Amino acid sequence: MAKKPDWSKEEQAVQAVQLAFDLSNDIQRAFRVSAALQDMSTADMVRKVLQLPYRRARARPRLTVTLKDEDFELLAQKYRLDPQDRAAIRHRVAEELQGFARNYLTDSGH
Amino acid sequence: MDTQSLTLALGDATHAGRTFDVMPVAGDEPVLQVTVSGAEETPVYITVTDTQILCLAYLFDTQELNPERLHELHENMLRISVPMPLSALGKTGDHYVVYGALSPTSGTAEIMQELVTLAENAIDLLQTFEDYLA
Repeated sequence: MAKKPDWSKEEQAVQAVQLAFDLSNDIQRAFRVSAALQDMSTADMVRKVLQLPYRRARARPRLTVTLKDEDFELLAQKYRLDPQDRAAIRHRVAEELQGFARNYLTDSGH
Repeated sequence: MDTQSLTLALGDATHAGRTFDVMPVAGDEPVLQVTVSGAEETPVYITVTDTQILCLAYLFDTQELNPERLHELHENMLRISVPMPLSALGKTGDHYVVYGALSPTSGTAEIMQELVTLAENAIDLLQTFEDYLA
């Protein structure tokens, strides 16, 4: 390749955007993690840091999953159940999620 | 046009029914992070130099891709880059990006059009290249 033209100013600009992107990713992650640890939404965590009014904790933290028809098919295969037997599938889903939580929260005291 | 006047101009503006949320990012060179309403998942980063206004959205990183299909992905990226309106595909570090460059004398209307098009293109590209992710 022949000598590259001098685009060092443009290279610097690209580098600056790169730094900005990395920084905003780090900031977003910090807010998501700290919000989760305090049972808050990310938006409320931002408001808390800015000392604006916010809801202290979620009134009823819920864990929901919306299962589509094809999800029931996949889960039925996995659990070897009838895809029509949605109650049984939901029961196994609940068990699996509880199992995950138990393993994850090793210091939960249970 | 500099980043400061751009921040003020975009903050109150609407273009094709879209609004713009502008957040300056701290650093040596001024960079703006602009979120276009309706395309919040793909923020656009803007920086202004003497020669161009560079607008850039991040798509994915090298390590997120299936290495066996990398060549095919690059081929498709090069081909899609030409007809794609107002934007082109490229790479900075390990990040694949979609970007558009404007003349520094561009007005707010041109910049807003670029931002809306770029953010929408980024969403379309993420869907188009979903199969290449590992």
